Amino acid sequence: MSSENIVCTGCGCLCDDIKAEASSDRLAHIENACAKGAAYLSAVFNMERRAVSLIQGQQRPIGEAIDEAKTLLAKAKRPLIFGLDGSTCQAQQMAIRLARERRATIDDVSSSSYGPLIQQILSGELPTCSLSEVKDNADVLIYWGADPLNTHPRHLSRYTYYAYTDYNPAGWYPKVTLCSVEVRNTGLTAMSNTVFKLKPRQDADFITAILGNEQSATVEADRFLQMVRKSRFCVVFCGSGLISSLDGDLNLFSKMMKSLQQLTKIAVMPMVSEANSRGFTQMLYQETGYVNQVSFVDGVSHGSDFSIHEQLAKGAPDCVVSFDADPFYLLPQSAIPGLEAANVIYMGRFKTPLAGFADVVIPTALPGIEQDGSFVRMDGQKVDLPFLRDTPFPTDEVVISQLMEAL
Amino acid sequence: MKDDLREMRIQLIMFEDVYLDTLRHAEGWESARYQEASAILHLSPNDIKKLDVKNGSHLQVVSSGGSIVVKIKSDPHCDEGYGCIPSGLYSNYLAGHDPYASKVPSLKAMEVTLSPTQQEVTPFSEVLPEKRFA
Repeated sequence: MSSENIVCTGCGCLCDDIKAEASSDRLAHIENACAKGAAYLSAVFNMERRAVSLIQGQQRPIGEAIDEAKTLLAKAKRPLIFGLDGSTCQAQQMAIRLARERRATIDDVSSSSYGPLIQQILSGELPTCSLSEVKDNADVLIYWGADPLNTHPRHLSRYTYYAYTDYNPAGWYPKVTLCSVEVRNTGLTAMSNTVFKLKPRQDADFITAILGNEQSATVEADRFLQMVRKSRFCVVFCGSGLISSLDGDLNLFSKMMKSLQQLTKIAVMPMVSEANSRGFTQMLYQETGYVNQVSFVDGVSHGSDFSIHEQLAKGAPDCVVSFDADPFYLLPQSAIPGLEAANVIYMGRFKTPLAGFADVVIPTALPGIEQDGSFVRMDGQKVDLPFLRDTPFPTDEVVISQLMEAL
Repeated sequence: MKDDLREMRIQLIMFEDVYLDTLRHAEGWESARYQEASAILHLSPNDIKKLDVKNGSHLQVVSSGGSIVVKIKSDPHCDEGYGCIPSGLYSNYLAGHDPYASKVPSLKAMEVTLSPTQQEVTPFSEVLPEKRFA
């Protein structure tokens, strides 16, 4: 066994300094990965954890499951393609083509999280930067509604706070202000130099105060403005807490960023959790001008009508094709009846609640371990994935090309 | 045994828990340890006192989306009037969302009612639809 460099696809950090040694049936050794990443990559080798090829709950050969998926997709009148946040950019591009040819609706998890933020970044309305620009350059790091110690365990150590090479004379804390804007006490708030504690759903009020007319100005908003004003380069890492609190409407936030740009150099970055959600949103944006919630029924249509949640809530799709995404983990239960009414095809790496529910399950290879390809990191940088070992499972690309043959 | 009539309304905040994610990857979503770790409601010690229950006892949590029974964990980092539940099948089950009224599911701040109960923790099987192909 020899040690190979791999990229962890456990979250949007896409750490590319992972060293791994694989034997035939297990990940014998892994270095540099966080606990979450190590558990995720190790699970690939545990056949008990891997999805099993099924048709209506009965174990069948993978080829038969793909044939059944072809049949279900071919007869669908209102197909919905969902997920793809763990697929390679190459597979995402093919899936978008499949959706276009099949006149389907396509969406991913960004629909109920970072979609509006990424849309504004890609359209140039919000300033952004790469993670390599952050390290050693940004002197104020603001995590807003984000808890990286739990969502992206190596974010601080590999890319931001602890990655700095320039230390204070005391030899420990980097010359950077770590700031947390949060509704609850977290590990990050405990270690932050500056904390702005908000009540749930009060982010808009805080932003209004920062935008500062005399009626809304507060001591906390002044403190925030002073911190930004003193900085040379400030980066705002936006978490799902911020997006949720603003109900996905980033206009006020965007206005605040434009105002803060008058004070200092400032950039935003989405704390994307899914490994290649940034890739999917960028790919769909290139193809259609929208990052998610797209219907190809009549050319290109976009809007919340085509979000996975609204589609399922109104029972629109008659066939749901999920690429390694599980609505039971991702959506509130009001979406579930729509899932029960449709034929469901699940293509994924692991057993999940959806795999136990789908009409057809097709186990697929995990990018970064069992196939190569490229992903896009949370900061929009493309990362090429090597692969570690061969696998009996087909890649997403192979399955999609077979589904397209049938059409 | 008859359930208690005490009630308390709080805002429930969903949070990401790296331990839970790690457990799901390592042992699978059906494992007993993952299920047990998912069904934990973090509450401030004062709120636990107000409910007159003990750390580790069970509470019924009722939201506009549904009702589940979870285990309490006393958490001094929790503010009074707020509870925290890890992101997962239980939090999604509780989240009632009207996609026509708001764009993003209100997973980060849900109004819920708590009441002490002697019932067992709700198993995953009760928050998921029946398997089609048992």
